[in-house]
Amino acid sequence: MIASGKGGTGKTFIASNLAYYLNANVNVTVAADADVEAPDLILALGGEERVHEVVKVGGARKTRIMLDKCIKCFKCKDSCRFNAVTIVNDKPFINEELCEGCLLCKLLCPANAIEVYDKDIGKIYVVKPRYTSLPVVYGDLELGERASGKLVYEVKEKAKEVMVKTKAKYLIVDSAAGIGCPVISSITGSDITLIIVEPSIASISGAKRVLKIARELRSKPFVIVNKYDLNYDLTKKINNELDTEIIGYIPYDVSIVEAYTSMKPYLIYEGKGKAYGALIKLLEDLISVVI
Amino acid sequence: MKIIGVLGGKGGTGKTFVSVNLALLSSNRGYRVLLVDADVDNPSTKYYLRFNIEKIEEATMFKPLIDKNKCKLCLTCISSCPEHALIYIPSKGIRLFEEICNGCSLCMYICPEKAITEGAKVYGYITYARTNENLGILIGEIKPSERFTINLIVRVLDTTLKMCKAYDLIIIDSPPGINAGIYEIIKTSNILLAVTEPTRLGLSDLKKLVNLILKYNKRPLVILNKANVRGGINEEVKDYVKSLGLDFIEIPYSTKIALKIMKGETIIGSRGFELVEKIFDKILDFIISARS
Repeated sequence: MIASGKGGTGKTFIASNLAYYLNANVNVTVAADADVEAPDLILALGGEERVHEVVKVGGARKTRIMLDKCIKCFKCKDSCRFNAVTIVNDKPFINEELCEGCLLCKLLCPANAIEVYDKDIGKIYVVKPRYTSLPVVYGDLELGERASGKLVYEVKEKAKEVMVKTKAKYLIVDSAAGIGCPVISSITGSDITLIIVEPSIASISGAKRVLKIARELRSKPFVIVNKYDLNYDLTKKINNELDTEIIGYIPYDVSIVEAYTSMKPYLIYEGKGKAYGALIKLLEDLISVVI
Repeated sequence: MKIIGVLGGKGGTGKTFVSVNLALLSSNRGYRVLLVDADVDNPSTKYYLRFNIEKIEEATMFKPLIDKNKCKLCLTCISSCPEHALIYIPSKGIRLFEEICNGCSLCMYICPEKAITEGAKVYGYITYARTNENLGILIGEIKPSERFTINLIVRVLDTTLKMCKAYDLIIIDSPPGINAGIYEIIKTSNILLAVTEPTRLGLSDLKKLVNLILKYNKRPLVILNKANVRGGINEEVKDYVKSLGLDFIEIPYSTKIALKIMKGETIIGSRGFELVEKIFDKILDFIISARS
């Protein structure tokens, strides 16, 4: 499980390389991208060669108002706890994006004007990347949907199914930024949380929040400092302020962006630069500590 | 009054950098500005600004309070709870799993004995603040391990709309992603900035964000941040933006800027960043001249 708090610190970089390396050198691994709003893990692994499976995830219960039955008492608007009902031209409308499907409006509507329907929250893909046998599972949230935590849960369930099928030993989950519902959903049930932090004030604070959540969810946290050489003072601050084990330091390396650009996993990119040595050391250390 | 939503599909592209510096610049230019931090999972505008807190408000949501004396254990609340947040334990009665409850309040209305009443739980905070230079600040912050991010974003936007008459410009810093919270920010704003970076990951996420924005018949100004970073795909991003006929402004990559951001400092008000300041002036011109 890879998390950070702040975006752009290098979660996908670490997740893609760790999964690639484990799968190539240790044991069969499955990678899951739990950032269902910005699923980039497959890009860092060089793009997809074959799609094994696409599953639609439904189950988002929504309501709409049948205006021919509506008597405009607006009880639905007054009672909705999610501000999902708005009045347009004196008629109530339910914003699909905000509806939680609790059906309180249906219960309270005296005119029986509320209709229930099902909406897809997104799709799940199981794919084979171009340069590796590592199966990748990722979710793709419907634009503007609210149930991203539920989709993350389904991505993880699908990944476990793929693990059984491929007899995989490890599951690497690349999470979204932040500490919200999708991140809590990602960390839940994981044995280890790798927190990626860069030497910036915002990132250190984000890492502290993730650390707290990982501990609450009983996932063992380790910290990785990415781009540590960009600001030594703040790297020292990370050392002092995050009271958990720092398991590796990766220097800033422009060839990481270049590898993304040429759509090749960093570990087999020909032009890889100074992060390579540090990355291999980190991966080896992780394997020896964790396995 | 104009409301500017600063968005970016991918994390770390520079939403907060653009929001904070744009707010400072517009404030320097004489506009009355409110900076809203709607990235409630990890509000980070506060690391770049010094301000005085005027008020902290609790954001609360419904929580059922069950009166044991009135409850006849008919269990209607349990069978109708959409989140399955209520359970019955024979020795203890009806219990609530607070972390599962989404506060819909259905149980309160459905209980035939009226044994459930309105309780409240705090799930986040809204901070009202102001800098010495008179820049208004509103920050939403979720309580760690609470999952009601979207509820809080909606609440922050509501508060913003109530305050907006006192300001010329309202700048909303957003979380990454394309979820319902982002959609609410798109709906509330008259002008949208989509901040991206010239990497494959940046472009892929920009496309999703732009699709979401177009779906609601709005058109963003694309801010291509870290432009021409070595090894990146500047031209590919520009081709995509031009193919849709969108306006864009580039902020060139520089280690000098990156280091400023890491230290939690701003460009506006610092020496040696006059060229970057000019770019922010261009963004401001775009905002002022845009029809809303």
